[in-house]
Amino acid sequence: MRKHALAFALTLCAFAASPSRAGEENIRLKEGVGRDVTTARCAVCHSLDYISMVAPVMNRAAWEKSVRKMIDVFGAPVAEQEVSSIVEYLGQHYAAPQ
Amino acid sequence: MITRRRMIASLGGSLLLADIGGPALAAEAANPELFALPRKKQLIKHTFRPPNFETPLADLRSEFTANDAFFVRYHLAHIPEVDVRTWRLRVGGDSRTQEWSLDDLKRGFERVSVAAINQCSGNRRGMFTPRVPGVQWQYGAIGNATWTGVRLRDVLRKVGVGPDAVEVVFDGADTALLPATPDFVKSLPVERALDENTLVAFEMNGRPLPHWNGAPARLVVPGWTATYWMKHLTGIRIVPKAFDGFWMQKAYRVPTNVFPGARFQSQEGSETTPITDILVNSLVTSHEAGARLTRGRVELSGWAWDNGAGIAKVEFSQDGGRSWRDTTLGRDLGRFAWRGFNFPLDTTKAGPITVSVRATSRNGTQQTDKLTPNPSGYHHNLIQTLHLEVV
Repeated sequence: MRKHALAFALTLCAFAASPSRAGEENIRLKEGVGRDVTTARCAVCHSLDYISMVAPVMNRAAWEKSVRKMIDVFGAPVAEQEVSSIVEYLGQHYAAPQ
Repeated sequence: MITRRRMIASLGGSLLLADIGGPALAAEAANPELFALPRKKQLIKHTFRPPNFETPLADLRSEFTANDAFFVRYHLAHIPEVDVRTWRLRVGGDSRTQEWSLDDLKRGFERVSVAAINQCSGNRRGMFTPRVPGVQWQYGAIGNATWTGVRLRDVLRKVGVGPDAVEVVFDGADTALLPATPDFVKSLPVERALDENTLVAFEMNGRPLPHWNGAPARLVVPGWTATYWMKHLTGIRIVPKAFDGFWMQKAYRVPTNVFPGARFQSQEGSETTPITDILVNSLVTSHEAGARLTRGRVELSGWAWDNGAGIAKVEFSQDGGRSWRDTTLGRDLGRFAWRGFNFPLDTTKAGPITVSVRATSRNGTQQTDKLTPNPSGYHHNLIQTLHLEVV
């Protein structure tokens, strides 16, 4: 729970501190279960256009790897119980057509 | 050496081109989104934060790329506007650590300029087939500029380069938003740091460096990909062993002994090694793919470049690579800059025309007719094939 609150606080900080947010305010991820948590955690460190940019090369397994890398290598504040929601959402809405 | 053998093998190999224009065209962004960062003109937006913007083809037609059109590439999202009055460059050497203000640098060292292309390692990544993740650059993560500053080696010698120096480590003012994210820190082999062409530059095309291109000072490493050209330079350290940061040991690496170019021995592993030299490459800038040509005679032109060896020739083919004819080279802007080329096309007959262009470097390498796959999509230097239409 504390980790959850911390992640939320960091989201707010990131938006407040970033000097180059212009342009990205209008980006909305596609409707779907898991959109809010995906938006909140990913946008801490980067604009959401990163997601649509790489979608043509991604699938569920690739998103799992990517989310793990964000957590393990880049220190993204994502709680363990949120990982599957984010991966399922991205795998369903931002993946190459099979 | 292996790289040499590969060069010769590739020169002797089949020069017939498959229809490489097809998949490459399909991968090109259908509707590039244009956006102007503060004090930049409209560029092709890939991502807003960290900002990644490439130069549209129309802005790559001049010999020197305009500062406000030059591509922008960042890894981390906290990019402070550096105050030149309080900025200091801190340099740690064998015998001491010293700090310089911008005025100190300008007064204390010989002023030098070099014309050089600055190209992202992943330029054209978006055109790899199969596609690979990462910023989906098309042609515009490159520009040519005159960089003015002081020689890095003159600065390093003030703090002492000891006999045990192995690498020189560079840090810039930009940081991540989270403390746990690896800071963008890069290193060079000490020999490259001491090369007379490696600069701490504070001007670009005769003007102070733009914020988005590294103000107030950045590293300039002519011939090597832009990952080493640290922006907003704040710290330099001479170290006696391989620097073990994420951006050296995990990122910006290519398969070992596969691509030509300088070795980076202190960072080399059996599987992967840091990317180093820019590969020989070319780009037609006068026309976009699919352009309609007027009847009669049309001039095509563009740029060719390499790692600083110098362009030996640029050729074009209209029969899928069976036969090649020389283009006319433009004036020499310096061996690290790009070199112009132009050639006439006979457009007396209406209908489709396919043109391929390939550059050859004085170092013996030539643009490839088959890309070497690598996980990060670096070194895209496939012969460009343009499908045009005479109307």
